[in-house]
Amino acid sequence: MHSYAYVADSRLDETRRALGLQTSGGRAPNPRFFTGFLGDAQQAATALLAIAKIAGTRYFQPTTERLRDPVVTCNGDRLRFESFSGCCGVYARLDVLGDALDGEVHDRGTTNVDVNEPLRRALARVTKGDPLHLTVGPDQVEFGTLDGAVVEKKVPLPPRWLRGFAETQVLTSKFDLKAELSAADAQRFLKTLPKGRAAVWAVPSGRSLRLSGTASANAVCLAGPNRLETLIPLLRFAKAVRLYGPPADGKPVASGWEVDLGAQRLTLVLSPEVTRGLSGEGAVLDGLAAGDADTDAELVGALLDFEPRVDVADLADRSGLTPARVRDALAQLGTAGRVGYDLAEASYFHRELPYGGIDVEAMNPRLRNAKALVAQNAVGWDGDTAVVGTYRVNGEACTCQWWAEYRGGRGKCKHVLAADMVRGKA
Amino acid sequence: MSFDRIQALIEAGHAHPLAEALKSLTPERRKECAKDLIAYEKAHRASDVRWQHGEPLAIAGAGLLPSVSALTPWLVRYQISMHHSRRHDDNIGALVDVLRHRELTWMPDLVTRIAARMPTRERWRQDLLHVVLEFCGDDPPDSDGFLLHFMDSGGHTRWRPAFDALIPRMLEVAGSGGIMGARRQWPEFLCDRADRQVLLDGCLARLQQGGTAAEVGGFLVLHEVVEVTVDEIATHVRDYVAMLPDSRSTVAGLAQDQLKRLDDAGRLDFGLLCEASRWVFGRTEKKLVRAQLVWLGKHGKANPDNVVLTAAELFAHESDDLRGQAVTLIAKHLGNARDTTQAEIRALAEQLPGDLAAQLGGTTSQEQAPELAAFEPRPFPSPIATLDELTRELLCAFGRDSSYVEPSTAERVIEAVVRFAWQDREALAQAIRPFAENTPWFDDSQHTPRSELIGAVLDAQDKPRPLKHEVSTELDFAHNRKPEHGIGALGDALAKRLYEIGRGLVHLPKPALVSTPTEMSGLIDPATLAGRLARAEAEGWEPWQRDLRQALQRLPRDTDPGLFASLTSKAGAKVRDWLANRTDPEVAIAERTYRHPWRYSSYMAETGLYATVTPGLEEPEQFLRENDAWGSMMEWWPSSLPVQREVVAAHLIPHLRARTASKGVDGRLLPMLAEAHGPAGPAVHLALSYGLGAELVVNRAHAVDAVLILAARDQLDGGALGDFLGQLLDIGDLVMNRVAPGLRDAARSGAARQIWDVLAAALPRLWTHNRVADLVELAVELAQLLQPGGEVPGLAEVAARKGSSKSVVQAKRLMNALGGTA
Repeated sequence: MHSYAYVADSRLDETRRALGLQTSGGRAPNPRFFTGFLGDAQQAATALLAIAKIAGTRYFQPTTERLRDPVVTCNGDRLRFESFSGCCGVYARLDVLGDALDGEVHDRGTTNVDVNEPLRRALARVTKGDPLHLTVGPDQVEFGTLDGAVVEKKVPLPPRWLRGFAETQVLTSKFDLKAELSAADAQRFLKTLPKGRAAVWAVPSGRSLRLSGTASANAVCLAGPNRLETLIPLLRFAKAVRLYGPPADGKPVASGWEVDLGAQRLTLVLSPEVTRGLSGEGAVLDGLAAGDADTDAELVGALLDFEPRVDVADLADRSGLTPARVRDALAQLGTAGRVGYDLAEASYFHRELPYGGIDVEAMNPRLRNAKALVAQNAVGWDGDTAVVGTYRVNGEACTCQWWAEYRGGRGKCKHVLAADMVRGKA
Repeated sequence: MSFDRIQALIEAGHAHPLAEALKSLTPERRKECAKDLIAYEKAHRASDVRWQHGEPLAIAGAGLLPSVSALTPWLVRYQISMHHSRRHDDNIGALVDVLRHRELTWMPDLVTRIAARMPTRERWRQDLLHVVLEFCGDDPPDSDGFLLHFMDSGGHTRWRPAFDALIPRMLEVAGSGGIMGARRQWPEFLCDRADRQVLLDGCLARLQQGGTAAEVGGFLVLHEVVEVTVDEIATHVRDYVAMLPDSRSTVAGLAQDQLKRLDDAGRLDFGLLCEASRWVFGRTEKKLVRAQLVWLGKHGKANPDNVVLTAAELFAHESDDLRGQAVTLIAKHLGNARDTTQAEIRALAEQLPGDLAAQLGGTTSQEQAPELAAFEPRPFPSPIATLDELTRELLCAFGRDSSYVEPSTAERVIEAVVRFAWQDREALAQAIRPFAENTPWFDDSQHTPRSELIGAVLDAQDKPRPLKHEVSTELDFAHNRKPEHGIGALGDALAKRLYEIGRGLVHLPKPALVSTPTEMSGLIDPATLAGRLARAEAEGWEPWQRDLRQALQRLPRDTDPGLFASLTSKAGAKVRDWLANRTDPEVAIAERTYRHPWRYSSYMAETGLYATVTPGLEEPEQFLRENDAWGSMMEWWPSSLPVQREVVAAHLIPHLRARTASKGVDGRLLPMLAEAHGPAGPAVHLALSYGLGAELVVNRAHAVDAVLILAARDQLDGGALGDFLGQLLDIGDLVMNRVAPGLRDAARSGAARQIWDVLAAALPRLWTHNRVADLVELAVELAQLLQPGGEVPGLAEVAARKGSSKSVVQAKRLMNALGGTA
């Protein structure tokens, strides 16, 4: 269970056109990030609604339980609102860039932001594109009366949700831009998407996309198109829509969908299948298994200060590590929720998920099991082939059931990880 | 009284004597008995009969347990269920009686905790509901579970004034909409009871939030019952606008109606109307869009600039029909608009098709037709190199997603099994063991390809028991094997080939298979086969009989017999003989009627188009219902007969026809057919037609892939495909809204000319189809792009009709597009 403690409810004052978002957690109990004006109010409100909707939805096995609030990061020049669906299958981030913000940044950092039903309704009522006054954090008055008057919300915080939220960052760092559509073509494509759960592939053809049953070079996997419905209201304002994905090998993979609104960007990441959360994709295991990642991550983590873009070369310079080790360290920080990845800029950004006690090892049972195998000396060798119990590991392939089910498509199994660790040490 | 007596009463199951006994206890005795009860329950719960005595235990717990934290889970665990209907009231009555007698100070706490533990989805805890209602007094709990139980079991008949405070929560809890939809007394009851403002507020919030159709439906009923006044619409006007972007169509329709009412009363701000229109224009429901356009048009005279600019939002819509209506509206008012607006509209008109843009005095931006992606035959993957790889492939093929096995994987697996069995039988058995352990369910009594494949692999674990006597090379292991029902001739041939491998591995091992393809389509390079046979000849062995036959069936049609001239083995002679006498069976399209064998009435009869193969498949309709898609490994058929795809297509047609009304992923069935060789005649095109109308999106996407492959190989006969599609759409075997998007995707991916041929052949059969406009729209797009000229039979008559129905409007456009080149 996680407990949010807000100073007051977030609210939108419709007569004064002032949006006050309340915060909880992070480096301060109720941090204060920003006061000022937000550019196009209608776009921002629609995008915030999309973020709130994803935070409150389970696309697989829907429940009525209360879900988790979005997270906001202030990177100095921009605000990023992130949310993750209850089923761990959809990640969403709204980047409000500098051009849309006009005001004072009080602090950098990451915190939870309260979203409640009256706020949702008020946001849905915003119909004009005039600027909106925005406060992120308690305002002056509320700040003065911080005397325990709190709005408390309790929500379940399962490890797989936390892990998926964090892991998405590492997963998307391997994505490439696959297609870019004009707003009109994107509208036509996304609005005519048929229903269905089985994964199909969106392949660039002409100016738009077509659906194919087979993965080709530039194909983007699309499983459960209903999970993209939150994008549709935003298409009216879109400048362009970009699609991202990892290199395709025929198996369902994750996909990224970015709606570019000019001064704002909304990015969705969909899991490879509706029934599959992003939490189990295992993208980080490699980096974590590399021996030095722990200490490197500490070193690199200490150098970060909520930068909007993490510069690997610069970090390598300052930390004295090689760029490859910095990247591994960033991956490790990613699993702990300490960096995010921005697809549009193809770079990491610093943020610290405002949930206490993130234990990377506990969140990655495969890694823990692999370490246990190594500790038990369970890895033997038959030439180049590692023998772990009854399983045989060749390179990245193993004869265990996990590998057979996903053919390496969800990260390495514990046997391959254990073999890698032993090989790395030798 | 000792606990023994209570225990006896519990086990006897007599509620009332038990209740009386519990009530007669002194506080000290109760304390002692509670300990005994807990110990008794612990032992009972661990015993084999833990399902017994649940209801008396609940009563005993209520009478004895000392604290709220002990009693809450107890009552949740021991349900007094509705099933024992006769004693039901008695037992619940006894429970309540016992609780009341105790006069507990922590009763309010118990009520809250029990209410919090009531389930939300299944509402079967009438006992808990009863306890809560009995003891909550004027302070009812407001947990989701309680509210849903209360509403679902006719709570309005047990209403107390204090419950009025629950109404806002009742509107809020997920699930209440479903109940209100099913029990219509609720909306009316709430309407009488609740504050109008609260009711409308809650209702609008839920309509905005959306949910399942049933959930939203309940609130639509509530909204109807409330009978919103124009004043109230005016107060909540933005809430209604907020329902337009991404709600269900019923909700958006409601919002549209209410806003329209407000506008009719002259009280809707024009800016909000434009805003609402823009949201509606972003939706897919043509009905809503059309209504909005008509409504917006009424303001054209007063506000020409805003109206035309708002209507121009529709230029990005997929439907030409709606774009055309928007253009008509804009053309009507454009003259009254400002110059800057006119220029803006003309710039936006670039997105429109040429004829529509011309109506606004604009020009379309000529788009380049994309090129067809060239077709490259895919080489067959390299053989399985190690035993570990074999283990992995076996586990993958029959692992998590075993709906279909990639044919190349299956071929590589059997090739590797035969090869490794010859080299090191022991090691192979080791490699197969994990797979064998995973298939304990395997049943060798079936003679389907899938079962024979698994059987053959498992047979390779056995020690070989070679036949003692000399055998002829004509030995056919599967000679007496009966064909399995529902797998067809191709499935049977495949099954027998696999059976032969299984028996051969045991009784007549060979060093290798000769039939492994060299191309993904299933084709074997003749020189490679000649090489394999030469090697066998040099090593002194003859390939298995069905293996050789399979290899022959994979030879290209233009194989040069000279390649095999130098072979002296019997296999070599067979190849030469076969190449000289190769014939194709006759494939013909026929309308055939399937009759269910167990029904003699005619309503089970189903007539449809099939392809017959003579000899081989005289009654294809028999496979419509009784086909075994899983066991027969259909995905393997195209590459088993890669140079006779007409025959393969004919065998697939019953299955593909069934797939127009069934879910199930088929894999690359149709693309494999398109990649195969031999003439692509009527059977292939009929198979594609059914594929384009499949129920599952992914199966339709595969069909589009297949169309594009055939088009890229210049083997697509647009006329034939169009003819079949026309027939099948006309008789209703295919659905237009599945077929049209597939054709559009294919046309926009480089096959424009071929799809034009398809449409030109299909349209003459479809002029009376109620969705024909969808196809005509695509035809207009292609005609404008290709300027094909010529005539489409029947078009002139439709275009000459009066009226402005969709089909007539589109037909006129098509006439113009074709007339432009005449």
